Amino acid sequence: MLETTSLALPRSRVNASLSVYAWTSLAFFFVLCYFWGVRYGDYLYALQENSVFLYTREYLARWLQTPDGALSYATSFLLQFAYYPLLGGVILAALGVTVQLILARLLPMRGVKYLLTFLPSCFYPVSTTWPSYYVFLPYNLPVTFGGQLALLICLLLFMPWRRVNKARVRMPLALLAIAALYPLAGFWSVFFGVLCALEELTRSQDVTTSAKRNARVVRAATLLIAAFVLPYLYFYAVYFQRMLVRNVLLQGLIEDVRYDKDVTTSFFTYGFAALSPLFVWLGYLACRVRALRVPSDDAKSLTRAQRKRLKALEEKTLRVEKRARSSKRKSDKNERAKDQTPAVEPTDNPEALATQQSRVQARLLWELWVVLMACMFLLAYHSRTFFDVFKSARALIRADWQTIIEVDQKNPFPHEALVGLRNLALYETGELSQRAFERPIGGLSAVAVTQRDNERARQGNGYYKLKMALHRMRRTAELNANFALVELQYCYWGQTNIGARVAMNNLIGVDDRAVSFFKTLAFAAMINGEERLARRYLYTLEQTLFHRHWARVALAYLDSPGFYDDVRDWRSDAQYQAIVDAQRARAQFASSLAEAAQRYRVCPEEVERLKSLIDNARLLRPPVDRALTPAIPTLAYITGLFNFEEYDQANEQRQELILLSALFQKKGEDFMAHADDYFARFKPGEAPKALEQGYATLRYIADKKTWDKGSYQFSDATRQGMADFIEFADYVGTHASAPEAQAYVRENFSGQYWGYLCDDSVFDYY
Amino acid sequence: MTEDRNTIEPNDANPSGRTSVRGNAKRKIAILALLLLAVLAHAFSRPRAPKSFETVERLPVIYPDYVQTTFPINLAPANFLIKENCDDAIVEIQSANGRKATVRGSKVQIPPRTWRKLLDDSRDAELVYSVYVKQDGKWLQFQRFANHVSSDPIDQYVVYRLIEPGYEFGHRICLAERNLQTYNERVYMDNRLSSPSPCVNCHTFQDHGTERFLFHYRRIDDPTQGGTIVVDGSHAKKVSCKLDAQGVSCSYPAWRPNSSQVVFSTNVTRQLFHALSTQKIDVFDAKSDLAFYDVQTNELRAITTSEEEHETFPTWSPDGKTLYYSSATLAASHADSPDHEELIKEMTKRVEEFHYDIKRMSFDPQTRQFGEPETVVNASATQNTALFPRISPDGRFLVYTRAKSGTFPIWRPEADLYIKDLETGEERAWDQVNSDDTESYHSWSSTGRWIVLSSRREDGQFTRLYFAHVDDQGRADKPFVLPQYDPEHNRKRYKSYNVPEFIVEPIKTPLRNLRKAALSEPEATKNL
Repeated sequence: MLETTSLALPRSRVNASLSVYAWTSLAFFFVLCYFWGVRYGDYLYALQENSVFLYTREYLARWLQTPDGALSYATSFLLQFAYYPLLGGVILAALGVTVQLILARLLPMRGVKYLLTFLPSCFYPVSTTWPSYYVFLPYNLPVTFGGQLALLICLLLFMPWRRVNKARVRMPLALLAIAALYPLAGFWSVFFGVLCALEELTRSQDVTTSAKRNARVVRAATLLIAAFVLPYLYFYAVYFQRMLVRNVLLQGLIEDVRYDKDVTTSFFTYGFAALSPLFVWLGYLACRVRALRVPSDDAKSLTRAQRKRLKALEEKTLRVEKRARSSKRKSDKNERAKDQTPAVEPTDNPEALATQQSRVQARLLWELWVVLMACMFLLAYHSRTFFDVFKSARALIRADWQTIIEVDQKNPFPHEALVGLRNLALYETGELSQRAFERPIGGLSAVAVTQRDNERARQGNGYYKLKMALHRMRRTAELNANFALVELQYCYWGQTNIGARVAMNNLIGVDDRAVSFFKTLAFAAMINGEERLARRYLYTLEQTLFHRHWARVALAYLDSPGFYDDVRDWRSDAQYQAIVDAQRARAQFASSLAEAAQRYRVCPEEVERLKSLIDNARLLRPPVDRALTPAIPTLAYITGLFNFEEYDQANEQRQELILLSALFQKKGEDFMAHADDYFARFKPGEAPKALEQGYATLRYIADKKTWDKGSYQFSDATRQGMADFIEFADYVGTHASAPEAQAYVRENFSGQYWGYLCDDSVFDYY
Repeated sequence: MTEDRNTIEPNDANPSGRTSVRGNAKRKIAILALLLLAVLAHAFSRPRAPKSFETVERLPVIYPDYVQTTFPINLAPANFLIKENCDDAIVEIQSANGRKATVRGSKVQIPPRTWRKLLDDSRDAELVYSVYVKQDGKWLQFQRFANHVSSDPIDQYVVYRLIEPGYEFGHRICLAERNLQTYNERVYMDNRLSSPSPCVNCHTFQDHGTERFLFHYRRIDDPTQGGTIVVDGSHAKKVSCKLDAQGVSCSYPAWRPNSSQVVFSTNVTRQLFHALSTQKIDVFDAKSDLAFYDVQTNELRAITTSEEEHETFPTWSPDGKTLYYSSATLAASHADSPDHEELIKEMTKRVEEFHYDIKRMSFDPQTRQFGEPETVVNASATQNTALFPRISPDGRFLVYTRAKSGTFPIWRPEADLYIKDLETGEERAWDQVNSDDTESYHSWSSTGRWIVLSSRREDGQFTRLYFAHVDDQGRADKPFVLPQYDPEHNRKRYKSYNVPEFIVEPIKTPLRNLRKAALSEPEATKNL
């Protein structure tokens, strides 16, 4: 059994030191709560939305098909509570602190070394906030929750196992645990096995004879071999059809293996999490080795070479501590010079010396702990856009348009997904045609690399190549948010088939385990009038803990009499009409929306709100069907959502959007073909501002002298804006097409930008 | 006071003082045993139909729809859910000779042994169902319904592909074999055994057996490592079936009966997406032709090569002397555009022009030559498309899928099965089998008395397997969905059942051999 630390402190000092450690752990708990529940609350919520936990046997059975399935099942269970981010944060914090406390007990590090026990729990926040394309997929399960949970389980198993004295009991228990752990937790059985092997190798009892020492080595080797071989035996016996042999030891550690991903970026970022168990192994090894050279009767049985090595290790450790103490002493000296506090002189009194040491160590511990926390926050990914995208996506799910607009207004460089969300929010609040061009146009990447950086990289400059490579490596959620977090947008824009397509593709990618995609699919089906299909997805959502309410609101809507009356029946498809009629005959419709709401025990207002969302989306649906290529429309600039050929059949609201879309797409000719008629409807200066700006700019391009002499009188604001823009354009002259000029126009004359003949390629993503 | 713990000192309540603690213990044990017996008796007691009830003059709503259908004599229990608002439910099933089975609860799961007895008793007769539900304290009985039990056994197994109903790609795809007499489903090829997830598809079995079969294994990351897994007994190999001229892999196969020859179609498939319709996808072939492959000699040659004619979905007549297939004529301006981008744009405007007819060619086994094509179903004349021709084992009937246009009828809600009597030439919609939604891929059983079809009648998106009895005149009974132990299984499973085929025996090839072949280097064919 491991010896306690050699610091022989008086009991009162021991209590005081212990309270420092306890306070440190408690503070860490609150730091983690804040980190996850508040700072990264929206991110945690997004993880939860892109995961699902069902209380069904089939759901469990599907997880158990591969090793680490039970671990992922437990992780999904915990992740669902992140529906309330603070609750999710508390769970993560509890896991992190429990792991830390167990490590502190296992590796009895005191003083500043106590800090090392925080490292594994710090790795996870750092690594999970760096994922790239996969942030919205449940790839993060092992990293965010599962890894810590597994580490905790392994340590909880390990600690009582260590207390078993008899080897003939210990060995079978260890082998049994390794064999049982692999199907449940994958890699973590190997971790557990290595821990046991380390313990076996370095146990200080029973080493009085060489035979016993050899037996110890044999036991350790047996455990080590079992830890690495058993997973492969499982693979060849059971899992050979369902996984790759190269992933046998990675299951449960790096989630990407489940989805056959082979991406350097994610391996790099997840490597932080993977290092944590390695740290624990090494830390434990170091402690075990160190403990062996503690003077005791047992130590006499060590060989001379072993004693020499242990002594060298101890001296090295003492030197490190001494250096830390001396640097602390220097800084204390400076403080004392300021504070005029009398210096603490070393004395020969052991108790006083111990007191001094404990104070120094406590102070050092606290200061280094602050440094550690600062590193954790700084190294965790935290770009503005990162947080804004998650916040806006969360607001989208609640149809909280004001929050989306507010988030966008505070972001200096709104990303493409944010621009798309902003446009949708402005549309839903009836302000799109007025305010479409108020904000600087986004599209810049999350990290500040410029077009010039990109060009230099392309020319072969090593520094810029590295800079661009690092930038690409940190492709975070916001760069792929359009398909990850906001696929519901397509449905809101009336593009239900596209929304369903993106959501289905995503759902397939995550093995049917994401709430948000189920919701989008249900929503699309409801808009389409596909009642049976909607009910299928809602049936799944009803099996969840926190989303069943949303499902019930939707079911109440489906049961309400307005559903089929509002559905856009396919009158040209008699068979589909027959389906609708048959469903209408069979379904047990409620006599009113209120009755339907009562049936599902939800508020009628909630059902009304859902109905309103669906009705709005239906208004935007294409008037006629047409076949489309596989290209997905761009939501940021509502490109591809509206077909200009449909202008004449469209209602006023849709015509406005078609014209706006023409501006976004820089299709000046299409815009001008209908602009005169459109603006003729308005009194002078009363047309929607964004359209007015585009109209003015295009008229200016067509004829610089008579742009403001048409039948429509522009507002004073537009005239002033045009005057500033004309002045700038005259000043820049032939350099107007230069990237810098275009960037300036885009940021300062955004209303004119979309009519201006600019080359958009300067704003490509890279 | 004695020290004997087994006795109690006499007192007023117990004057004899001879009642022992051991006696008390025995009494307790006896009481517990009686209680346990009572509980067990209750648990194992058969529920009984209520004696007093009100009658409801309509059929109960149950899921799946196992009402007035025909079951084979050797089917697994057809469990179902009672979808009526109720506090309790009892279902009584009576066989033709009066045997009754009663199940309590809204989830009706019939014990397999009881079910087999009911089926045996009702051979070529009816099983009558009485459904009782308890609402507001009183029992209601719905209108009774019956299911017919056919003495024609169904092939013991059906194989199919499980795939997500994705728009553009699959992820977790597997080929599975399901025992129709039990609920056992065994995956014999899972695409997780290589990375990234390859496509596994187009399994075909010679003569409903498993001695010889094949399926495709497509590697997306490295197409050169994909191929066709050809199984002959316990031996499996991977073959790269590509015609040099086109460099296109062989796709839909048809194994010629009693021979080592297979006809493939070679397809370059692309798809379009609909902006508005409930038919969300349209699929067309940019190119497709037929190829002939001999498993024994490993020789591959083209049968058809026309750019304008698109041949696909081959199938053999039972005697192996006639090849049936679908064929469409479409001249596309951009047939050769790189990645078919321009072609796809062109097709967005011509999507309704893809009309396939069903044709056939004679085949001479000696010379291995095909005769001139002859039109069997002229669907294009009525602006329709005819796909998936399949000939009944007795050679008399041709069943195919008809839709308005396109190559993949699974995405067309109007797609239905049609049956043509090859003897009389009579052709009609197979109304007994069709629904208001998609009916698509189908396959005959070895006896020709059963047919399995893919249908999306449940929700329009997720394909399920339905089975229908067919008599010797080509008349079909109402189909029933593949039974599951948990009747809610179909609602929970987010996979579609694809390409169902009957087989009479399980796959005996060791799965390791299949895996090994799938991961091996493909063998090139000898192209003639």
